Amino acid sequence: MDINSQTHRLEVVVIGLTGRLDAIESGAVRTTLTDHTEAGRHRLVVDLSRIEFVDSAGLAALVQGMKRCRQDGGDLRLVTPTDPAARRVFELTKFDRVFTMGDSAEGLVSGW
Amino acid sequence: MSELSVDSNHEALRAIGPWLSTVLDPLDELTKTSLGTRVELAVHELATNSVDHSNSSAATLLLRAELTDASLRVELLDDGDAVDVSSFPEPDLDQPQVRGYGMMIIEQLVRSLDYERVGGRNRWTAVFDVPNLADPPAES
Repeated sequence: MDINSQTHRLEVVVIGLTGRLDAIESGAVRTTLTDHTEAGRHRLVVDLSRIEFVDSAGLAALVQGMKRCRQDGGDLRLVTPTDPAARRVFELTKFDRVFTMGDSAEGLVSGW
Repeated sequence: MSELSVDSNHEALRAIGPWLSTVLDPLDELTKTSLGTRVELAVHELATNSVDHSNSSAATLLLRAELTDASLRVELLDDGDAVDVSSFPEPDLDQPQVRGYGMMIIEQLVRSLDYERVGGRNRWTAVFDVPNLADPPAES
């Protein structure tokens, strides 16, 4: 009998965003997320801790990325915005219950 | 009454936040911060709907705001196509979808929201409660 043990390391991509995540910026975010998923990277963490404002267009880009990752067996997780104004969109739409959210990228990565 | 006129595109909508901040200047800092972030998000979403749904890319959006002791009233006018309010999708949170959350967000932030087609223009009127957060709590 041969026993063959292999160690596999999960690849997780952490994407940090700053400033406003609104209709203007959501296109670039959408493109970045699509580039990762099309390259087979479907475990993504988007760090929103330094985001100042999120609107429904920004939320839509994240939801689209999350759906694509989950379809591929992965997930898109979020570092919670520290700014209450930026957190509000997730609370009002109840997406704070749909996304896996955490206080740090390190915590979200190590929890995979 | 304060007014702001902006082009009907997403870039121009970034002027809304600073304008609302000046509208709320008479309020104490705590109330201004608390109310300001709610109002900015709601009005920004309303204006985004105007840009996206009314085919008014060559037009301008006119915003008017009036602050009283108890409320803030914001009107948004655009001369785009008439809006079919029933066409806004109802989000189903059990089936996360990519679009359709703007109106859901607005309705949770306002005391009231009305739409009228007046003189060939769309007019949205949003009213917000103004809490008096500076008042000390009553002694018991």
